[in-house]
Amino acid sequence: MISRIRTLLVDDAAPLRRLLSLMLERNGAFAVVGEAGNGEEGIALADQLHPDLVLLDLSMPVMDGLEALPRIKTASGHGVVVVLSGFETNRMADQAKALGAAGYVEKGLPPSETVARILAAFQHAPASLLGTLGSGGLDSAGPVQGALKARRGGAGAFPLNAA
Amino acid sequence: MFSLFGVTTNGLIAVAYVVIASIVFRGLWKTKQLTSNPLALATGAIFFTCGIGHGMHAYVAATSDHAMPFETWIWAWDAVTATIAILYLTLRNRFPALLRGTAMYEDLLQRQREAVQINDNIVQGLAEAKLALEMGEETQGREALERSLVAAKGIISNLMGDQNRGNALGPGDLRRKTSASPEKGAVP
Repeated sequence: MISRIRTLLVDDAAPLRRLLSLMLERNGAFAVVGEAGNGEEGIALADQLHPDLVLLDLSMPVMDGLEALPRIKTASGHGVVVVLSGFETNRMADQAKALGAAGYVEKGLPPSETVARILAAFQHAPASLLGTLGSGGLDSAGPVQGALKARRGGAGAFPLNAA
Repeated sequence: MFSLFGVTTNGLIAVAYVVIASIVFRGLWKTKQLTSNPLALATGAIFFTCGIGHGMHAYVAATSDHAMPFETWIWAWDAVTATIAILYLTLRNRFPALLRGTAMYEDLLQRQREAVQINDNIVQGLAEAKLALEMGEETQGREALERSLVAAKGIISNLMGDQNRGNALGPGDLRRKTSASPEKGAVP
């Protein structure tokens, strides 16, 4: 049984969320299960949907990404949070990771590289996540399974469909 | 009742405080921060008003013909204040750092606010435009570019200040250090 990474998008720019959703769905490894426009909505949806992955922007109204990050991690249970932000990595990544982000990806990278970095961060997901992705998680068919095999085996590249 | 102790301690405090206040005010005047650094201005004002107050106490100590309640304790505490005032005065070499530090803090906050605004309105828009074009979503890409351009112009105008308040740019103000399109291989 092939599973995809259930993904929650948290970003106040609706047009950008649309693009991200399109990019992730085209890749095939992801299934976008929800979208939120600020940190507060993100926490509520994380609690409701228990996504595998949360892509989290930093600068948002109502509640920003740094405020929401620890609570989204808790609310999503086993979810991995990857920050996707316009701020440079060397400026904000350390703070984001200190608050629990598994990775930090700058906006503006080519789609294939963005997806690659998100998947690379996802490889650090806790082992308990593997069980939630279906018993056929090690089936070599499909990019998620390839990523999971790469994470377990420590292999380098993993199959990606270019966006 | 006349108290040499009271006159001396309060006199010392008055002199020290007024000197400190004048140093702070002079620093603000020289760095043109009298209207832009309210914290430092208030600090100077506190020293000035307290200096005048203690000067009045010194006068009372010199001229009063009856003792105040708790007079001994009052003069003792004034001795402590005088000691600290003189110590503070010896730190006057660091007053410029106090003035600079406060202004720098305000500058930093302002710069951070502007940076976040630029990130929100320009960087995000350009990132969206880039992603859209790379994904073949041309219409969304063009729209995002347009929004970013409009936002950038607005932010620049705000940063340049109100033209009607003496901030108008004139001949020479727009001179660039390097060309906008340097020749290939040239280092900007």
